Amino acid sequence: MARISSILFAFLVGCQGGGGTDGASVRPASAFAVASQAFGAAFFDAEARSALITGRAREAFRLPGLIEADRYRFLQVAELRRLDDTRCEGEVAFAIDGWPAQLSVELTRTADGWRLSKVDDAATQQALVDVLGARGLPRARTAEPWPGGLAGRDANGRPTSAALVMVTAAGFWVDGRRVPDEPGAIRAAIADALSARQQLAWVAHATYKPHVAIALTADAPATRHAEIAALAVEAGAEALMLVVRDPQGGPAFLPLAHAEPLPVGERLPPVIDVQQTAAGVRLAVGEAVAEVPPGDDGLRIESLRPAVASLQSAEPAVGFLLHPDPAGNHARVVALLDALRSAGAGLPVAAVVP
Amino acid sequence: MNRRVASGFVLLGALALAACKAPGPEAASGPADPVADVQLWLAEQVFADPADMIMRFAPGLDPREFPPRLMVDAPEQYRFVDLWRVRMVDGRLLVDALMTFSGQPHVVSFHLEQVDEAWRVASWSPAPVAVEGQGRAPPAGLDLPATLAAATFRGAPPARVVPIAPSSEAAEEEDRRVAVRVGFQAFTFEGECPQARLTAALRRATRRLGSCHADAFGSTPRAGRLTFALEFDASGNALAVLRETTLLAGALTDCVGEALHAVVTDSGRRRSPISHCTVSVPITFSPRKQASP
Repeated sequence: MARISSILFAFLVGCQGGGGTDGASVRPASAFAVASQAFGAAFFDAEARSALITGRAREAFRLPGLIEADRYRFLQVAELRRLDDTRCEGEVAFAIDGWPAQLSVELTRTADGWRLSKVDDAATQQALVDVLGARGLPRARTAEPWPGGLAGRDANGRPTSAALVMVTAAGFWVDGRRVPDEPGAIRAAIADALSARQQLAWVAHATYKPHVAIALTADAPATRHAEIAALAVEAGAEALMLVVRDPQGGPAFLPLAHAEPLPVGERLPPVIDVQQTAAGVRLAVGEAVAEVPPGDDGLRIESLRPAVASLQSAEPAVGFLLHPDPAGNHARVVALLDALRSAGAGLPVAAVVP
Repeated sequence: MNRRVASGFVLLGALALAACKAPGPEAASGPADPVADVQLWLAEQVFADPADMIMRFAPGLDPREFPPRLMVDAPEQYRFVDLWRVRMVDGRLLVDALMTFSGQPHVVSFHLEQVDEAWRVASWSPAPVAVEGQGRAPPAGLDLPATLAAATFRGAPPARVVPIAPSSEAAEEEDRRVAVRVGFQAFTFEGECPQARLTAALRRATRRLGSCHADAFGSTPRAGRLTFALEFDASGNALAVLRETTLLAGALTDCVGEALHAVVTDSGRRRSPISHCTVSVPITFSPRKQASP
């Protein structure tokens, strides 16, 4: 019997220790594995999840209760960094409705092993859900597919070429990290995000134009995108885009041109001024003017194409300059941008702060 | 072995298998917890016989060249401290490991890939980086090995610009900077020239010509005259040729030539093209009188 027991003991230790040359050493689960389980197999299993999380973090980890299981997919533990012998912090990536996102976490080594001891605040978790909710990112028919998500990385954990600025009623995030709602802080965070990508481009011998993606919810003020675009340009951005949902709800974008002042004395080429008001849309270039009345969705899109075509025949323009209705919201801006892209035969559209 | 003992073996074996199949959070094994596996390897097996470690490395890599083995003379001089940073990018596990060589802390960076369902070391940074202390890893960043970074920049949309007029502040600032008056003596036209159109276009260029002068001479304006000939060929292309100047400054000549070319080209493009025309453009610069303090 003693022989049988010793065989069984060796078998069990080998199972938990796993393949080492020293069969007596028992391998503990890593912080990486614990984070993977908490956001993976145990995410929707409250009991299993609780076993991986310390008491305080258990209450703070609200995301599993905010979304349905069929909308969620665990991607990977994106990064863990050592803080000291008993703590590490990092980010865990997952997708909601196919949109890559991430939460910051901290893990602590307890007497029972590694445990999730901190997650991003409740507002950040709620923001990820809100931005993909009914009043979240607007949809656009002409949007181009985008591999990025809500944290400046794609589903494989690679950084996207654009730094991502996400804004909800709860605050600002740059590349998935919370930023104080102050222009200086937002500008600095964007500059840091662009600088990191420039460094990456240098390593990769790639050509890179600093590039910012702006994700706003449908009910954001109509001028918010232009305000953030201005901060992004001040931070060094040369290319801009608005993050939207494609008709199926997946990640997509609308390119946004940068309104750049010409040097003093240089002649301004023709640009179509697009004035959005409650009464519709007014397009003007030089002396030529066209009015488009509002439709069911705030814009009669079928009237926009001939209006743009008539202005272009009078004086070929090099782009649109969009003046949003200050009383409107971001959803209306995106609807107009979408329609201008459809009607404007590839002309760039830039937004200006009124 | 009698039947009772045999059935005991079966029962214990079943228990052992059950324990292996249902690992708790502390008992992840093999590929389920590659990080713990790497930790164990770095702590205990880096200096094992290379022949025994060959399966830990991707085909073609030599375990004897793994940096920790090259940094010390004897295994006793090596100590694994902890994993500094672990990242998962594009299905690869990027590891920065903190270790000491003869007591000196260093970080060794390498990455693992899944080959035949096993995580194997697939590359490493050639030189371990000396670090101070054994504490915190660097803050989160986007630094990646070059092989993984390139994909970030594929398919990025182009930067597009819509030109707008300069702000009134910028215009005022430029007016303060430009300390000369720009004028034209009489234009001379030869050929089929739309005189009114060209005259209007050229007169609109005075501000830009003033900026050219300010760029060339700064705050010490100089009086003088340049005469350019603008020659339109049969296909409507314009060429600006310097005919004479009293201001010898290459930067001024180049800038004025470019400005005139841009003005008349734009004028020709926006309406009917201009061809078979030559116009002589004498430009004068005279310093403005400084306001008395």
